[in-house]
Amino acid sequence: MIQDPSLIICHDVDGAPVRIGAKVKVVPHSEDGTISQRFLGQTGIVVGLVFDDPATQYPDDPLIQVLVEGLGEDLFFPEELELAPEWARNRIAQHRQAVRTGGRSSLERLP
Amino acid sequence: MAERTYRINIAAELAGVRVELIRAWERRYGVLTPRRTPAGYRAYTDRDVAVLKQLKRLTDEGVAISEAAKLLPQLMEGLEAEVAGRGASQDARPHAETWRESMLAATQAYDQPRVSDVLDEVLAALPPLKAFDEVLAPLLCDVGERWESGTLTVAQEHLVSQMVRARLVSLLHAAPLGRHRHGVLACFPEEEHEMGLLGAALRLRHLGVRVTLLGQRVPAEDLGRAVLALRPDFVGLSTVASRSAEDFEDTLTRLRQALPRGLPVWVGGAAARSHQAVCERLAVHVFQGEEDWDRLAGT
Repeated sequence: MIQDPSLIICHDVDGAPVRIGAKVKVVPHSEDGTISQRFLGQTGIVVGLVFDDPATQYPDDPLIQVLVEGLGEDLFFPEELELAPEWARNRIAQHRQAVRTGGRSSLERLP
Repeated sequence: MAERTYRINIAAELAGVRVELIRAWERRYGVLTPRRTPAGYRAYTDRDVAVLKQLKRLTDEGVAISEAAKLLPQLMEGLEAEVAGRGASQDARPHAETWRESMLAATQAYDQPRVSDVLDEVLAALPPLKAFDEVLAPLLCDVGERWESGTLTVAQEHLVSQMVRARLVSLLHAAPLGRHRHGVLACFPEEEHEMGLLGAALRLRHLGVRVTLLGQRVPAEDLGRAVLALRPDFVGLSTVASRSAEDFEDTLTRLRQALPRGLPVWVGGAAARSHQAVCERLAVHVFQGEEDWDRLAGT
């Protein structure tokens, strides 16, 4: 049976870090090199929430689909968008990192 | 020779994975690091597409993408072996050229059922855009050139172009509907060649653009009325048949005047390329190639 559990949502989700239609600015935060550099410093509109693994991400950890007029769309983590003060973005990033690391650690403890 | 690359929309179509998922997989799991064009667009190789197909297969089987991503080194090894094996038997896959030659031979013999059969074979074997780019569009060029040189009659040209047109329309019906941008596509008022326009509509639909297709011989005033009602983000025009510079300028001027000021207007086709200076003077973009698809789609 073919399964595609991913969710791409174009309406507001309770618990998501951002609302559809919100105006956001892309800020340089990520250091993984996968962010689209041409979007940095640009302001756009949130048009979607992408949960590629909803079981672990829904509702608070989507990639956020942002449309920038003249540039197109791309996906960003919440901390890459200026939708909260910097300290709050750092907390979000730390929390997400901790959840990932925690998950990995608990898996490693399995026999 | 430079390695062939594809934009994300084409890679998505070839791999059967949604654009958003490709971006998500890259950003969360680092499964691919596509090259970037000078303009910053992602460019995927055939190997990238093969990796995406493998990841899709695994996720379709119920493997979480986070787990599938960990299998990437093994997947890459498997792909290397497959490529090495294929190198020894390069002729295993039927070539686009063979299909085109079969259809041209069938056209010469007035064998329309055979043309139809080969077209079905092509569309079963290739994704829609690849089928158009590698087989249908070159076939139509071949047919046009042979008609021009007198080796195919008008009846033979129509015998094959009717079949191709029918398939293109079917592909358009099955293509994604598009969401964010809207384009109105039309042929010049006297233009009867619409295959290029159909191909453009197909490509734009696969790039996520909503397309309103008006087809051949659209009078300037009627186009203006349609655009006023539809309020698209751009208008795409097609003009193939050769015409004098004065005639071209006169027609394009009437079209420009019928459209709202400031609305981006693009024009493609052989005649447009012959009269680029006129287009520039009238502030109409001439469609040049791959980069322009991204500009039209805003990707």
